Amino acid sequence: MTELEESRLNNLEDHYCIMYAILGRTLMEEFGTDGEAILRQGTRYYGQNRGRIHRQKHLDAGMKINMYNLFTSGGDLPGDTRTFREAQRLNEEERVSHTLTCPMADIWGAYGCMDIGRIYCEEFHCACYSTYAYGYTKVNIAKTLTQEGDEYCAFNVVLRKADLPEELQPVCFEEFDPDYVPPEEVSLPVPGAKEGYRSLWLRLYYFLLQAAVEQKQEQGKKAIEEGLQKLAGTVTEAFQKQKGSIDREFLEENYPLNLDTGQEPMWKDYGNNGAKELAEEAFIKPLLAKCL
Amino acid sequence: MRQIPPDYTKEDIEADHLQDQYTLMFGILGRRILGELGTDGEQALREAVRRYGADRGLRDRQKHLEAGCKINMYSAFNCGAGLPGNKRTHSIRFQSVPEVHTSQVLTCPMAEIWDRYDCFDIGRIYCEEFHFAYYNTYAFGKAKVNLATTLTERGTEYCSFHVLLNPADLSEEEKARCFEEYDEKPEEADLSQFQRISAQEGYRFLYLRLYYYMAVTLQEYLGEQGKETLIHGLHELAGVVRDYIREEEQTPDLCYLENNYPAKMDTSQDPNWMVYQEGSARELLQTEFCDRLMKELQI
Repeated sequence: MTELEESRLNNLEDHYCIMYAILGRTLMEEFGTDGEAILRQGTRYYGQNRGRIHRQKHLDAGMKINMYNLFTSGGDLPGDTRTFREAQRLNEEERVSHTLTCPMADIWGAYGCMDIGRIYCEEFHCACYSTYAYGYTKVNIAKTLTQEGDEYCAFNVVLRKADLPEELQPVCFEEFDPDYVPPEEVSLPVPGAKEGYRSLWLRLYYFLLQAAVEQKQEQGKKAIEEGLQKLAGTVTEAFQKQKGSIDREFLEENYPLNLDTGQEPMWKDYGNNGAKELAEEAFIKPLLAKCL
Repeated sequence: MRQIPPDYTKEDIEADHLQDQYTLMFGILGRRILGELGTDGEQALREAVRRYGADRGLRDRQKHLEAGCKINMYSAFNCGAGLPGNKRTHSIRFQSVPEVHTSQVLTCPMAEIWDRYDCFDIGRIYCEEFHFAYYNTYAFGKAKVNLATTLTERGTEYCSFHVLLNPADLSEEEKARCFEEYDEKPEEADLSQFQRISAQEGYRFLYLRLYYYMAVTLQEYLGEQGKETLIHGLHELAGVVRDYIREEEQTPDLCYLENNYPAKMDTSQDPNWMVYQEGSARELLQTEFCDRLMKELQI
């Protein structure tokens, strides 16, 4: 990876995190504990969505739904050069690991939003891994880098054969499926940086909006709108600090969202509650106006 | 015979025996269940631990509500839990507030017993299922239980507990029941109700319920086959308990058993069974374990 590619990758990841932080902060400032409830629910929806898509990808490829496959194949998070993990145990039933450095925690810390990041950690992993394995995964994260005093994230994610109902045992573990023929070559590609973070940003935003509208209707949507407007300012400031003058090409390469919403096919599936129009009006237009 | 620490009283020794026997019962029966019934047995065992955890969580919640305590993580870990105190568990508390409890358990006599009796993997099942069911049931199903390492896993140095209850996850009514700041008229909690229960009383009730849920679930899931395995397990347990007791006391009598074993040898004398009557759990414990043990110990 060239220095330029790495810089783009870092920007894409950072801005995905910043979006969550700014929208999260706005919701909590606007609605207090109710705002936190929206944020948590939106994060759970998002985790469930990713878990469900990951599971379907594995089923389509003829793979078993278990912890080994979950953590080794077809993930939707682009690789990065800043995260360091220490794997301790990985098999069909268990994944035990420590994350020693996390750029997401670093960026949330830099923006004074560690508490928001902590909410992400508490809700996302449980929802995603649990949904992936039909709700039977036990997700234990006793430490996270988004918590003061913790030196690493401690993951202990378990799917026990004995916790599954009979009909799911062969879906998840080879030993219960005597006729199973594993796919000859499984190569589920990890998405590229822009493609990956574009999809993650859009869905995370979409589900935060969904939770906000569900719980606070128009007021909720209004809060997300305010958050997006603030975000446009934050993004502009961050990029200008990094590069001085910015052009559209730089924005397209370094910001996760596709700035031409007409060219973004995902809005078709994630367009409820006026998500696309709101992103366009409250975020993209102000961002382009400020930056260019 | 094991080394007795110099500061130990007779009551401390009894508490250790009671705890060991409670732990052993689960280990020996669990090992037998997995050995004879494989994954089907493990399924029943895990479900039994979950029901046991839920039972304890529900009772503690009720006790706290009656005493005017808020249902939260501070209360769960500090106010009158159903587990008698013991001198062998050492832990460090990092945080214990209404929203979160974070601690590390550095020594666990249960893990040590399971290891000594070759039931370490059975112990791990207990840890995985019990805590989750207990804290979750206690807090209206809204607690987030994170147990990233346990002493029942090889290579770990402590159990790592991080149990959360976020007000934002609760309904308005639950918030008021869990956190003072959401209650317009908070009551003064009557903590005097939470005197430490005696080790005999505490472990007897824990043992009864843990065994009961194992017996019931096993028969519910696996019918006659489950019952047969339970009987085999109780026979094996009687032998293991006999040896354990003989190592500690050459001539045990009924009074010794009363103070050092967490089940009454005449189960009909234990009123706790009144609430736990399903199936033949009590009868099997009586005939296949208690009577046998008494005979083997020549009491």
